[in-house]
Amino acid sequence: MPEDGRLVITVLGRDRPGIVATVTGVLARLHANIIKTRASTIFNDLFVIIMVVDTRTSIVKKDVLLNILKNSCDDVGLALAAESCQSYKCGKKVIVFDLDGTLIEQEVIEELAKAAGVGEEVKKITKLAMDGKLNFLEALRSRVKLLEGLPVEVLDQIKSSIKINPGVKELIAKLKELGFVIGIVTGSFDFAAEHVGRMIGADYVFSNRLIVKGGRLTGEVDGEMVGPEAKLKAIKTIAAKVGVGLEACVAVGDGANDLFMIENVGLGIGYKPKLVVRERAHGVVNTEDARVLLALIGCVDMRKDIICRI
Amino acid sequence: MRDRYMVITAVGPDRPGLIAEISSVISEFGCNIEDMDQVVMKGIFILSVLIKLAAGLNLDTFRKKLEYLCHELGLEVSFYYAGGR
Repeated sequence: MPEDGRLVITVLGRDRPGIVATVTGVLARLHANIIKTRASTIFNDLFVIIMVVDTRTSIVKKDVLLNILKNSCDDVGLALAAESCQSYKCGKKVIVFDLDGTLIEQEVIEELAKAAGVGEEVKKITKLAMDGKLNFLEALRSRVKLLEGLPVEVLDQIKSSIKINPGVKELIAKLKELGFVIGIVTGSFDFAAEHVGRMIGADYVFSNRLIVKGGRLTGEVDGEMVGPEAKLKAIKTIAAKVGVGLEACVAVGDGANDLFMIENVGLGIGYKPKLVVRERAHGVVNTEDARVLLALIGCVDMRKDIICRI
Repeated sequence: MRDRYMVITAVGPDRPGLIAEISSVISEFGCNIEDMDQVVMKGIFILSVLIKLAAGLNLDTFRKKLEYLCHELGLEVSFYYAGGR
């Protein structure tokens, strides 16, 4: 992608005095120049700033600048994203979500582990994997192994206890209305991912398939496992079917196994992200408010106060 | 009391930091930016902001402070009272 040093930066906060001062103050101290701004109160209680920033004069590199902005954004609240102008202009067509921790509250593997009586062991491995300290696929394989012998009825119980995060249904409904193709791409398991996919109306679901024999889990996963690389591959598959490039894709996730897809799509967003993701994502969202993510991906018309494609 | 609004425009040679300076004075006086547009045309910085004036704001002091600041920054500044809404 050609680099011209310009970034489109979107910032969202709860409307209050001082948001513009905070954000532009950071840019000024780093000697980055704002060449265009559109900012406005939306829906009475949110404030959105969209700026084109020239980073060529900046005293720090682009990624450092972005991380300093992300930190200051914690004061402003809510969300921030930065994209190259090319990526911003192309318009987004596909949006892909991680499952556990992003669309739903639970970590499905931990629920399974609890039921199998190996909760603590699995939790330890999960934590290491999410923080990027352990290879995701190895971690997955060893955790699934611990589930060997678990009766399938347990899966149904877990399925019915899945809680979809607040705001998700509203968000997906709005995204569908706007013509987005929706995908769930997760290292979690088929029974949960497909269930959630049906509930929210996802167009594509990619997940790991647990093998069942004689009514019990064998402790193995079928076919190619969905790890970090497979997540990106899944997005590429969806994008190819829709007939767009990766720059027209948005990826939303929270853990280290989402990093690969987050870094390689047009707009990769960390949703209440773990530190590794926060540092490398193009954007961060710290709220369940569906309007915030919609505004962050450019789906808000500030003059009309409504959500639409602009 | 009805909310009071003001539009401020500032025009002059561009350099990094202009919006930061102006918006920090606006927030220092407790005023809220409701709408803002800014462009750079051939090196000339053009800013317009709609602000909601803080209750009990000393308008005269606020205006003088902004005028002084913009003078220092080499910007021409104008104020338009936009009434209530």
